[in-house]
Amino acid sequence: MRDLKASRVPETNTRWLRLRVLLLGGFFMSLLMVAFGRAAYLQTYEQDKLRGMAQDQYVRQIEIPARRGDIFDRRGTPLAQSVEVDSIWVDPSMLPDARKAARSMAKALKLDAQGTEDLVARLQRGKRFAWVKRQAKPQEVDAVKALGFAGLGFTKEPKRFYPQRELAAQVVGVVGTEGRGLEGLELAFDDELSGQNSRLSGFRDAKGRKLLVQGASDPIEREGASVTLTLDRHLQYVAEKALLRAVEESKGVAGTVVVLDPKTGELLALANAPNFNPNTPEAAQHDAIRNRAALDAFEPGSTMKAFVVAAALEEKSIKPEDVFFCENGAWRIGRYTINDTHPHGWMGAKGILQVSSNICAAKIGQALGREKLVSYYHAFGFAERTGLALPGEGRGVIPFPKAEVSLATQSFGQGMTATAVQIASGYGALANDGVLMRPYLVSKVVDPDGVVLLENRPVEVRRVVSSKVARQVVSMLESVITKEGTAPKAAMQEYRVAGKTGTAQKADPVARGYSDKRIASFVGVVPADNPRAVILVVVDEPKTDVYGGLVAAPAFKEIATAAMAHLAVPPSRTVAPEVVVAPVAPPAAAKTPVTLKPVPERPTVAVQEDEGAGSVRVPDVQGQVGREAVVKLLAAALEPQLLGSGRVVSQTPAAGALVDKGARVTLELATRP
Amino acid sequence: MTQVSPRNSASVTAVLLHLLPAVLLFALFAAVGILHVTSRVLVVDMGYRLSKAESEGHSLTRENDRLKLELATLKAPARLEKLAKEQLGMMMPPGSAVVSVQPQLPGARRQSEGQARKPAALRVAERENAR
Repeated sequence: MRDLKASRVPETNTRWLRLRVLLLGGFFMSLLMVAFGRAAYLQTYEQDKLRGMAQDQYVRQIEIPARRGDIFDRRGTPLAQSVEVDSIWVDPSMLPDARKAARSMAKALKLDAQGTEDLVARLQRGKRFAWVKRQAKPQEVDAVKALGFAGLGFTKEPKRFYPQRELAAQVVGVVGTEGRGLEGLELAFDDELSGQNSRLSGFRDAKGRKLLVQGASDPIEREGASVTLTLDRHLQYVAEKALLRAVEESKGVAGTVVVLDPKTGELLALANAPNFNPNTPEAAQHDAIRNRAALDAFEPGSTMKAFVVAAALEEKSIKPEDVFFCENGAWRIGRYTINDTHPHGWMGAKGILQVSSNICAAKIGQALGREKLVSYYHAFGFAERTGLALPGEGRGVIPFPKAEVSLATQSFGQGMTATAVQIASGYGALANDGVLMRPYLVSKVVDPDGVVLLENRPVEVRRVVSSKVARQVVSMLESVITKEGTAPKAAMQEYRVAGKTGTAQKADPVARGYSDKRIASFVGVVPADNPRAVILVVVDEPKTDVYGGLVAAPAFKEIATAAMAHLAVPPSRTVAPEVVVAPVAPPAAAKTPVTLKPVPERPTVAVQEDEGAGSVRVPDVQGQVGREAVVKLLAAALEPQLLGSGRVVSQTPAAGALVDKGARVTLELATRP
Repeated sequence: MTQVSPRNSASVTAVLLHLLPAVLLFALFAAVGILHVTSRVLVVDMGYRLSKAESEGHSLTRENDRLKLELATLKAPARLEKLAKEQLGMMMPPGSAVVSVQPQLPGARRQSEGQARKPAALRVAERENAR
């Protein structure tokens, strides 16, 4: 067989076979090489591109919207907060009947006819995605979930809430559905408040669960900065309440209150009427969203007379004791006649302010001269923006009074415009011994990691008048509050008040003249001896009464009373406290007689026995209400110091002990549990 | 037999000895493989736990925000005044009912610019720190 094979296969055949083997081997080797080459190419040259393609398939970029920063009042009460709420969407292609589904969803969401129509249209238009309801309430989410449609989805979206509702709504402003500020501070500080959206990369597995591989980002990074205002929630509330009442009672169309700290320029309250609820801005009239106090310039009227008198005194154009003839109520200047509400004869600067004589104010303006009048108005901060950081802040106009009559009218605040904040800050300058402070509304903008982005501190703008003149004018303004003045209704029992009324005529844009519409205002400085607050009340177009002393002064008094108590300002004069009777019966606990708890006797202070002129006996205040006890001790020229609250359970030194006048008496108070 | 068995056993030992490096290498590879897989499993598990904790933290933050909002809503002055007037029979204090007392340290009258009210000043009408 071997023989046969050998004989059958020739030499050439064997060689041919080897060649075929070699060729085949080479062929396979080259295929292998190509494969290797391709592998090497993919692994080295194409590596980055392919990895990116792969990651695109299984790594998800999860975008986390930044939480919008909060807005606080000066004590950290939130005025605007963001909370994430559910938004409902649906994949209309998964719904068997989009129209029917839309109708039942609209029913669950309690939409009105128009809303239902819109929803039906949205669902029929959208192919794979349509919003059902953005920023829905929890009960709405539950109602829609209960319908059990396929293709429903829920995403979290941040929504802006204003927990204090109407409080300072115009100042804070509103935010749109997309989370951008539309009005007020929300718009002015939109960049700072909105913060940076952060991205997280993670895998998503077949079940759609998130799988983080790089770690979670710091939640602080995702927050916007917080804005702290100088507003005080309590004063703001009191101001808004008083203003609303004043506007309502006088049947006015609008109103403004500015409360300003004259020593620092901080705006403690900035109230506007009518108001609106920023949680439902779509329901508000556009007029109500305006922050009139800072945005609108109006003709201020007689409140400007105080600045004219201050300027004239400072320039020594007039002396406090100079008298002017007030022309018995009517004074012709060229073609025009200037009138006073009541005819007056000869009067000094104090009397002019007291009865608010237009004619004499015009005469003081003449004595001062037009250049100086305008330059002093500018020095008091008029016709320039105060820099409140509010978008669209008004600046007011003071045209140069070329005509004799414009000089006269500008001396009593007509023929020029100013914003409420400017007037308040001008009076702040008078109250602050002649130094104008820059009014400000935003005290701090702080990043969540504590970096202060913006901080406002009290800034002196300029000294406008000397402190002597400023004090003179303020004491003249005190006479306005007396019975003979224009605003006896602004008088306060415990505090000295200096103020000025204003009753301005409104210009008629159609008839090109003055209409019979008025702007009534009152601006007050309290306490006059050591001013802590400047309060301006403006009522636009009052109908029942038009005079500032009748319309705005009562609101001023209400705000000032609350402000003095809230700022803990010691009274200018001590008045015996009236007994406070609550309108409704007090809680039962207060009625039960107070049983005194035994209190460990404290070491009494060594008492001088000689009863000289400088010594007093400590009255017995055991068991009394804190307020009564304090009043009693103050009446005895002693300095009370309180611990706790409620009724007095112990006093040191003890009752009847002889102590120096002005000595401190420590009272320990406790409420009955 | 007695002659063969030592030679046989010797040969088995030799074979085993001969295979030992290969076995060790295999064991090493297996160990590294198991270790790698275990660590990957741990990482994935950790990733799930992390994302779970993250979303839990997120929902807690959300809840916290919601509660803060609710608190602020409940403390809104308009609501407080209504409750105090209607349920507790309180009223806004008239001017004279509030007696402001000198701060505790008469020497150090701090009129700091940032604060409208001196922290040391006591107010009688205030009942917030009632124990």
